Amino acid sequence: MASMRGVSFMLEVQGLKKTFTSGLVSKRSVKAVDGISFNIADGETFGLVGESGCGKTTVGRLVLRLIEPTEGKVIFNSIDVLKLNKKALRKLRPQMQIIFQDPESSLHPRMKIGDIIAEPLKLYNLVPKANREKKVLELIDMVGLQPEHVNRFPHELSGGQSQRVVLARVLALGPRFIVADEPTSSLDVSVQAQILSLMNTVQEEFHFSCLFISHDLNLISRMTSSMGVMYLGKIVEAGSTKELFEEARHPYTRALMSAIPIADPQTKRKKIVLEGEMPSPMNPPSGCRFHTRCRFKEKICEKTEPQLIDLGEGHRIACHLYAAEDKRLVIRHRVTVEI
Amino acid sequence: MTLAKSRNMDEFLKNRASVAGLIVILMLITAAILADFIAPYDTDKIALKEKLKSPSWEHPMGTDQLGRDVLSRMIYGTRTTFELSILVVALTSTFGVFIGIIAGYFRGVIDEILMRLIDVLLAFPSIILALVIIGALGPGMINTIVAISLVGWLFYARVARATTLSIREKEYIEGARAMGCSDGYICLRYVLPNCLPPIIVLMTLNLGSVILSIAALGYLGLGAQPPTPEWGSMLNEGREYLRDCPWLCVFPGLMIMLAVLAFNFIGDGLRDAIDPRQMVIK
Amino acid sequence: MTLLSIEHLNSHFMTVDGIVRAVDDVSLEIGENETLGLVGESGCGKTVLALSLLRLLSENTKTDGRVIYKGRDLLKLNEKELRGVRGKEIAHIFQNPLSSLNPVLTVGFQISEPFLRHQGLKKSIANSRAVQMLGLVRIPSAPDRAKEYPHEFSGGMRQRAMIAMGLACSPSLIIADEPTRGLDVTIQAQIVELMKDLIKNSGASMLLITHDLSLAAQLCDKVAVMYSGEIVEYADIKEFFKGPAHPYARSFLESVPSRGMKPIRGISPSLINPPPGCRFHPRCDCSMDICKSVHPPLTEVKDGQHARCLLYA
Repeated sequence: MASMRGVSFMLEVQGLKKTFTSGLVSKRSVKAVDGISFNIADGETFGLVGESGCGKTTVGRLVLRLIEPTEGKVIFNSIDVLKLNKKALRKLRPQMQIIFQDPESSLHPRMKIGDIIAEPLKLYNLVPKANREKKVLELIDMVGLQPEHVNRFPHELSGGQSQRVVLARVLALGPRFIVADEPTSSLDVSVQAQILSLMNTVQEEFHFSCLFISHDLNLISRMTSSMGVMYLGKIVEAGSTKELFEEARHPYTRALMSAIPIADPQTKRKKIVLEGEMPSPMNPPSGCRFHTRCRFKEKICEKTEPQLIDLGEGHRIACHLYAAEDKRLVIRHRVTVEI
Repeated sequence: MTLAKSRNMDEFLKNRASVAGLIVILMLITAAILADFIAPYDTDKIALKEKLKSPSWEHPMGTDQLGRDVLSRMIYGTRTTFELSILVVALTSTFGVFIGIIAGYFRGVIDEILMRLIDVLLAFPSIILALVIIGALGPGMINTIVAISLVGWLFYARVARATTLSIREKEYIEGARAMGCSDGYICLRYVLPNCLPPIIVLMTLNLGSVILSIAALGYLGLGAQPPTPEWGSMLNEGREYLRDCPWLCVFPGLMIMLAVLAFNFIGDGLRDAIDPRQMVIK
Repeated sequence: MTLLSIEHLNSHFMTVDGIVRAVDDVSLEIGENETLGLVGESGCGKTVLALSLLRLLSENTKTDGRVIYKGRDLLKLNEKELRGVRGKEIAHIFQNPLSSLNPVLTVGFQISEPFLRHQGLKKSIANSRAVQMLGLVRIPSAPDRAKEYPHEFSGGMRQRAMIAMGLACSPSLIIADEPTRGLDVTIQAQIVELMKDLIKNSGASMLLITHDLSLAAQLCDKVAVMYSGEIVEYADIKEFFKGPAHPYARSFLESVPSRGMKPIRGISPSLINPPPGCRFHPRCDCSMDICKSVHPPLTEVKDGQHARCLLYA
């Protein structure tokens, strides 16, 4: 297992890129993911946050190789995933699972819940035939469903229940790593709370690492120990969740943090309302991709792309304001922010 | 039975035309199966003394120019028609669905090639294509099947492909891939069952048009050859006597119409009954 | 002054499974210049309630009760009178702007439509008013944008266009159904700021339908919580967030991630066969024996805070 400063990583992602091309004659290409690196320690949950279209969902698919990356490295449990052939990849798949956003379309509509959960057990012969039913009931109980659900069809379940079935099936495979792609964004808040607390419980029990993808910073702060903020295919800031929530540095992260909805009319907070919208990834801005909406834009931002630099303690940021060689800007930024 | 399925069934049974169609088809199928027991006469028994008799108690549908009992020939004709048409539909749907799922699931070059091939084949008027094929191979039942099937699978392939295209975007397919299922397994266990509802509707409607094509080829003398009883060829043989002995044409004609209509009614009913959420073709 | 008062409103519709009691004996009031938030989880009947006010529901819905707007009962108006109210007096901003905008007409034309229909303005004037409205909802280079079609707009811009359309005839009441659903947080923040300003400047009242308590916290003066077709709590927004009285409202607030993310056990009841007695009792931590049989009335807990719970009866 690869290690850095004594920490062993379950998943290492380095310089991951994906360019989608469309059109047979006049090829148009979109850099959906443009050079992303992060590590997830064993048993840890890493959060990936960003607005729609930033490429976070694609990252989830890429690390599982559900979409073939254009470039980069994905190392899972010391295995170079992108070097595997089809057969070896299929053998590895049970260990890396995914939970999708829309529970209703995550389940085969013509299979009974019991069969859906039993399918992985059958496919990999994980449990001898005689014990399968018992195992299914065990899993069903673990995710908080009733034994009578075994004979139901997916359309007879609510969204929350469907997501529990998805979880049960994923757990049946005994994965070491799970991508949770907005697992609760189509659920009501009270159900969301149910599902997320269930995920926390099973993560403790089954001990897997998790890539938690969400647009909701409230969830990221509750579910993850470290996180990355994505903007137009790039990570603009990453670090421990605690540090980022206490001391976000990147202007985009700060704007995102200030836009977090707070369910209390008494809390008055200075909001940074970002102007405009995220540019299209087909035609990203030159230099720093955020410069079109950034309040601290300097000339250099339009021309040169900022590199991700380490501020210490794993806090990484891609912003010219923090470029080490230009201390003057950093100081100016600090002053502006404090005012 | 699941809730949805029984509800579909209720919906279907509410449609009177479809139920009537279903009853007609069930009766015809029973007749075809039990032909040996219910046909009053031997179909090949030539009795020139009895020729061209109008309908009577003895011969409810009269007799033909060779004195054969028309009712018996109609009953055996049902068997011929149903055997042929079911065989054609089974062949074309299996092949078409197979091709359609492959094209829709794998996309890319395979899809392009298959779809262009289908476009080319669809550019020919199907009946003319069938005539050409029979012209080349010679008349007969097997060749009829070949001729009709050659074009018949195209529609299945198109519908199956369109349905597959929308199914493959569903997250349960991605989930199955993430689970490590092979492409073949996914096509068989995940794509196929979810493709079936529109295919079943198409099969029912298609049975009607296949019956028509078989009758048309029979009428042109290119399908089933005498003395095999078949509705289309019976129509053809009766044509000469249309003025004096209309029953020779009226009964086969009515029968063809009845069978086609019945299948169309069933198809319409099925289409309405199958949950619209699961109907992917719009 | 009360602008709209809903009295004993029922909206029931027939399905193959039985009668869905989507709105069950709801009474509410919206004052002038007031924003009322109607909050609840999916399937609680909040959208049906909004649609029944302007009788926008399908034929098989049975609606009764009274909806008094400026002295007139909206449920008793004929189609022609109702058309005069819709859009002009009461505007409805729907969720999902992409399917609420007509894809084959330019955005500018769609905004100018109410001017043509309700105010009988000339086409050129209506057009320039439409551009003005787009400017009001802060769409940059509005004159050019007005000539574009809905698919050329981003999600946030479409929502702005919807708001512009709703505000076009300066209505006295705006019914906004999940105006920020599906938008990114930074865009949501933009829309919230915009709506705050527009409401303040126009003096209109608003009925905000949402599942998002933090949105209600930012925009509303009063809040009504709906559960299983009924109003279970009605309170001033500040009082509510200090401490909801009804156990469901309390759990609902506590399930919000920023307020503790505490799950509510069980699932929402069906609107066809709600539990007898208090509809929340199977999931309630404070449930008593009496809750299983007695249906609680909406009672005042303290100044202006009402709850439908036997703890306070």
